[in-house]
Amino acid sequence: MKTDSDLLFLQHCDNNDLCTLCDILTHDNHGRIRLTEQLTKLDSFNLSYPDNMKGMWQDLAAELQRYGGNTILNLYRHGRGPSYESIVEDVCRMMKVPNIGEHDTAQEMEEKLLVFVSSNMLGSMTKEELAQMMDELNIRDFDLTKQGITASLLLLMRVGRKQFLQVLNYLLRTISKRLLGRSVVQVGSQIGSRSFGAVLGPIAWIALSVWTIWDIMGPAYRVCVPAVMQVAYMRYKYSETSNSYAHAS
Amino acid sequence: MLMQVKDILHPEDEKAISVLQRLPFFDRFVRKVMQYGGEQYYLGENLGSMLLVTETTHPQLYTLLEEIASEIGIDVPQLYIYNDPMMNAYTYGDTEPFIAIANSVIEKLDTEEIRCVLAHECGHILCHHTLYNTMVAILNDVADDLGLITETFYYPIRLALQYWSRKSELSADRCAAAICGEKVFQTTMLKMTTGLAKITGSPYQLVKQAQRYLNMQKESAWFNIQQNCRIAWHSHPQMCLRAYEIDRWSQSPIYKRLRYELN
Repeated sequence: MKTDSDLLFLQHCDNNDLCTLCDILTHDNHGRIRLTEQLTKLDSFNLSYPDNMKGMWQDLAAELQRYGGNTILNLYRHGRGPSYESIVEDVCRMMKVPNIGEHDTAQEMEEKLLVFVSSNMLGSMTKEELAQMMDELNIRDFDLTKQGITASLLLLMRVGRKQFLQVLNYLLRTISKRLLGRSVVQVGSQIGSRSFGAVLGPIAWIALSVWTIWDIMGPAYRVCVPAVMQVAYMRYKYSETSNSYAHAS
Repeated sequence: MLMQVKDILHPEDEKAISVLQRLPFFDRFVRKVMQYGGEQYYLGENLGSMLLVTETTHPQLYTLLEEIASEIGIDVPQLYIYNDPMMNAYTYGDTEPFIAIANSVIEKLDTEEIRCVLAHECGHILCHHTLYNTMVAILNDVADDLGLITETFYYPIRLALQYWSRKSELSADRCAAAICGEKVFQTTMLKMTTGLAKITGSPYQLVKQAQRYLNMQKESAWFNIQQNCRIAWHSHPQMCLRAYEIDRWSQSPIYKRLRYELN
C-alpha cells in the first residue's frame, strides 16, 4: 500500500467493520463476486478472512485506492491507486455533496458526505419507516422535514455522537444498495449517449472510443461510493471510541 | 452444521460461475437438457457397463459415501465402479447425480483416500458444477461431432469453459480437504499423480514442486506463456498446483472452522 495517513486507522477497527469493507470491495449488491477484484487471491485474504481482518487492513486500503483510480493512471503508479483524500473528493463531487472546500481534509469531506447521504436517505423514507427507525433507535423529537432532518443530523454529529452512529449504522445497511443502483444507471446512460456521436465519422469514432474507454477505466464508483461510506462510518466510530477512552482515562 | 457452498467455493470458480449465470436462461436450458437427455443417456451407460454400488454389494464403500453425503448435506448419489487402470472418478447429473469411480482407485487407495476422492466428487455436486460441465459436453457434441458450430466461434468459448472447469476443480478439492484433512488430500494427490499404491517420503512433495513451478512462472514470462498455452485445453489444473492451493487454503480460518465442525 502507498502510505496513506488517512487510512492508517483501519488497523484499529473492528473485525466486523473490516469484514464489511472487504465484502463491499469483493462483492456487488447482489452478492456476486466482482470480476475485477484482486483481494481474494492474496495470501493475506486466505489467512485473515473473515476472523482476523486486521491482518489484511493494508490490502483493503490498497484495493480501495486501486478502485479509486483510473486503471491506466494506476499503471503509471506501479499498480497503486491515488490517495484516499482524492478518492473521497471524487466521490463527494460525483455525489454532488455541497460545501466541499478546497482545503477540506478527508475526514471533513467524509463527515459532509455522511450527513448529506444520511439526510437524503432519511428524506426519502416514508413517515412510517422513519417512525420505525426512530422507535428502534429510541430517538425522540426529530423534526421530519428535510431541513429538520439535516439540522438534527448535524446536531447529533456534534453532541450526540453515539446516537449519530446508531442512525448511521441503521442507514448504512440500506444505503449502499440504493447508491449502487443509481451509479450503475448514471454510468450506463453516459456511455449510451456517447454512442450517438458515432455517426460523426472515423476521427470522432476514435475520439469517442478513447473517451469511453477512459471513462470505463476510470474510478469504479459502484465500489468506491459504498466503500468510502463504510470507511467514513468506521472512522467516525473509531474516533468516537478513542474519544471515550480518552475521557475515561 | 452442514457445509455451505460459499465455504468451499474458490474465488476464481465463483467468478466464472457468476459470468455463466448471467447468460439468460442458461441454467434452465442446461437443466432441461440434462433431465431429458443427458442423465438418462448416462444412466443407461452406467447400468449397461458399470457396477452399481449398493449397501449389500459393497457395504463399506456405500457407507463411506453415505457418511460424506450427510456431512456435506446432499442426497446420497448413485455410485458406480468402472474398469480403468488409470485412477480417476467423475460425476454427472444435477437432478439425479451419480459418481463413477475407477476400480484402480478402490484397489490402490486406502479408505481415507477413497473417502477423499468421493468427497471431491460430492463437492462438485454440492456446487452444481455438473450443470456447467454439461454445457462443455453439449458444446463438444454440437461443434465436434455434429459440426453445427464453426471452430472459430466455438474454440474461444471452449477455452473459456475449460478455464472455468479447471477452477471448479479447486472448489471440489477444498470440499475433499475439509472432509478428510489436507494431509490425506496430499497423499491422494501423490497417488493419483503417480499411479503408485504406496508413496515414500513427505506427503508434501507436490507442494514443493508447485513452489518451484510458480517461481519459474514468476521469473520468466516466456515460461508463463508456454505453460498457459500447454494447459489451455486441459479440464483439470496441474496436480502440483492443486496440492499447493490446498496447502495454502489449509492455513485459512474457513478451513480450520470446517475441520473443527466436521470432526
